[in-house]
Amino acid sequence: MQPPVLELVDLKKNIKNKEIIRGINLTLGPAEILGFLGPNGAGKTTTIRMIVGLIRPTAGSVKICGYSIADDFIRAMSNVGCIIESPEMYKFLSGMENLRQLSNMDKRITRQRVDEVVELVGLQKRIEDKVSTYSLGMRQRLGIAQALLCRPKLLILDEPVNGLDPAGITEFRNLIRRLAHEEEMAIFVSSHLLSEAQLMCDQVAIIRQGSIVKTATVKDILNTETVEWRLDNPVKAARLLKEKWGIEALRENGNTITAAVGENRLELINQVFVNEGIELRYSIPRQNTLEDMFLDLTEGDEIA
Amino acid sequence: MLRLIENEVFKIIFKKRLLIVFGILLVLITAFAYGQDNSLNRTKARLAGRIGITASTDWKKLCEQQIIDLKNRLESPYGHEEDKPATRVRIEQLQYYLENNINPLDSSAAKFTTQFMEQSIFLFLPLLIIILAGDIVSGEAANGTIKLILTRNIPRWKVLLSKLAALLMLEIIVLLMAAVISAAVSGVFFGYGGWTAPVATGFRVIGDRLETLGVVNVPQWQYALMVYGLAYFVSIVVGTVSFMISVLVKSTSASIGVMMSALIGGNFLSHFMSDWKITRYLFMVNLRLTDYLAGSFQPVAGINMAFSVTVLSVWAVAALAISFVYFMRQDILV
Amino acid sequence: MLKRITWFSLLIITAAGFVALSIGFFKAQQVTGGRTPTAGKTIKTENIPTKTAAAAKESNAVRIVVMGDSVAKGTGDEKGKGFSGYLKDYLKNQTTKDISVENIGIDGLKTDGLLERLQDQKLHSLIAASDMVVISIGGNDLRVLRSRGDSTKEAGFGNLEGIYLNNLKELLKGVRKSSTDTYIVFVGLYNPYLDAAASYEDTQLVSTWNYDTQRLIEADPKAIFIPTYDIFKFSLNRFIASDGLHPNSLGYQAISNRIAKSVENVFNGE
Repeated sequence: MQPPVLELVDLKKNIKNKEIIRGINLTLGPAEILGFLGPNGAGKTTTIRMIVGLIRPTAGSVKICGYSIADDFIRAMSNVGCIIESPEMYKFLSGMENLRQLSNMDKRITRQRVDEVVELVGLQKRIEDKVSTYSLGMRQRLGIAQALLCRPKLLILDEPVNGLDPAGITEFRNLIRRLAHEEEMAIFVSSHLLSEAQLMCDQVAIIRQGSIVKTATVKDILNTETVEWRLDNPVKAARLLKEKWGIEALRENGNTITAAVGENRLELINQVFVNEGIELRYSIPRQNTLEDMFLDLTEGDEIA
Repeated sequence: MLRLIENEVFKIIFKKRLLIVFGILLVLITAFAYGQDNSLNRTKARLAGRIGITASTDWKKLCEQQIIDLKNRLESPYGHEEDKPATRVRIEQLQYYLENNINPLDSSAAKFTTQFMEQSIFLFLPLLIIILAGDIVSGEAANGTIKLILTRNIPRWKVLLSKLAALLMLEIIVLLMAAVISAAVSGVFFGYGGWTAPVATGFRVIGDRLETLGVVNVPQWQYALMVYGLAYFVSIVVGTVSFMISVLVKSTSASIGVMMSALIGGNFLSHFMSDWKITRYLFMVNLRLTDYLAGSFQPVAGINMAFSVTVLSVWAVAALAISFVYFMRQDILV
Repeated sequence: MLKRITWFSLLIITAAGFVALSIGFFKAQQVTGGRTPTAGKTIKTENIPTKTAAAAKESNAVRIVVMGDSVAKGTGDEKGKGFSGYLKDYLKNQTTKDISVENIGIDGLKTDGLLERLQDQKLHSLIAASDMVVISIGGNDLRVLRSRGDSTKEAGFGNLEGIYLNNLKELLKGVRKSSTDTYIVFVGLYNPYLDAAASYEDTQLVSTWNYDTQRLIEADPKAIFIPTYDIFKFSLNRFIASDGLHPNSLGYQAISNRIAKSVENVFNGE
């Protein structure tokens, strides 16, 4: 069996006796796009740095295509393209010279491949200009170009849509999906833009205070539906939901309750409420978003 | 590996570091040559004023007379035995001047090129090397590009080694620049000759005395080659030490600042605490290697070329070891 | 493409530079360390005693020892002879005996330096075998004053002259210890700075110096003080070498003439 493209086993990191990462387990297969989400300071960047060998883990292992990053750095990194934090390049060189520099570091990268990648990110017109004259969006594109040079099996992108305009974001999203589907690239994206992650990724992993608190496919999240009622007797309604269908309802504020109920049962429930003498103002079925889940899981963390 | 070195060399070139060094060299050498030309003229004028004849026309007489005096001294049975080789060497030099019609007071491009490096070896040359080496690693850390090169399929030691090799290469270029610029510029003032003129060398420190028994004449070009060879050795040592600082420190200005203050502080220290023995193990006080060639120093027991070269080598090796060990283990957090 | 060419030329230049600089470095190591030339030293020291011993054995000869500073040595004479050379030439024409002159003048020597030399066994035997010892010393003792200001000169002079006269006394004693009957000829000081730099005070000081020296020398019945001050006073341009300090060939000849005239009868009489 082919080993997974990326495998993290019980990855831990202490910095100055403080546990920054407390045991992360993760697997990513070919052609999968994983959104790595978490509030600031949760350990996203530290984890990514451990994956690409910039930081050595205190415990646990990182394997890329079956090769350990600690013991077989070269073979492991041969399969990785990445942008860490922001796409820093040599500002005193042109975009092309930057890519040439990097292609010099890897025998597999041909001149042709460099041109190919430039075209892929749409930088042909400005590639001979100095990077210091680039806008943030262009630097981002150059960063992606650089990451793609070696045809990686694993692409690691840290906040890739920062600085891109809406059109650029759409373009980028399409590029990522295409790379995953056509070239079977596994893509690991960290982001704080949840709506973006929802549109881009197949799965998400949410990290909080150094551990992963949830992994789920985006499809599952989107399939969970909730209904919100506004009625005069929320206590009675909650009791009814519990008694008749075994559904836990959440009391929101005042006269509002929510519960995870499929749209198909909503009519029946409403009928029962009315029969029981509850005065129903409205009921709205609502599709869950990543944002809801994220806020649930990381409640109270973000404000710092 | 050669590709990696090429990358590093071009990074330094495109960062205009080499251009800065070139500019500094050009300005300083021109000023230096002009100043020397001036002071030479003044010396001649002073001599002429005192003696009543123009020294420039009468130098031959002076030379001849000096040769005779020196010969007398050689023949005298009561001169110090060990002064004799130096005397013989001096006679050879004077004879060369006479035969080739060179006024020993005059400078030449060859002489100037050598002198410039002799004057530069303990402070100016190290400063240039620091400019070159100061940001070679810390610069990548400061602008974040270190993440770019350490996430390639290349081991860290190779990355560091290519940087070191690039530095050692460019040090050669700097020395070449210094030699070519000083020869070219000073030639305008002093003429382009003088490469075969004899220069005395071969002094040795034995005990706390300067031993002159082994003194011989070598042609100026050979002497210059020795001076520049020593300068390269000094460059390597200063280069590796500032390379280490560059690895340890995250900002370029801090790296250059640390090295400069170490260098200048070391020079002060050796000046004010010369009887404090530990200062002799500092690398900054052992940089004047060319003084051993010229025999132009106050001999101190136990300090000679071999001592200084050993001290400097130990510093270089230690700096390299620290650089590599630290760089291999370091967590990149920038 | 241009970059490739640049790169390869850089590589070649640095490779060549590296080889050249390494050669230079190792050459420098070789020159400043390594072989110790002790062999040459021992051979040379052996040569000297044989030479002096040979000189001492010859009995039918007039043996003259010239010692002291650069004037004794003959520095400044473009013919390289010095007064010792001219003296030898002159005496040769006067007598049938062999004339041998040992010149052991040393540039920059002062009285204390000469005293030190006098301890030397070789010099001792040389003087013992000599018929005449010519001494020129003191110029460098006095020259220390030149770097001082006029106000401190006067004060410093007394002190300096005291030390000098003391040393001179010891010197004479030393020579007499080696030989009781050799003639001692002392060459007095001239003032090379008369033309421009010398002030009245300086002239005074030199005269005092010479006067006190003469009194000391003449106390020995077989010693004579030869003044040179008067030779140079009006002939500085003719007699001073281009270094502005030492006599030239003519100057040395003049000194030599004086010495010869004073002593020729001593040797002719023998």
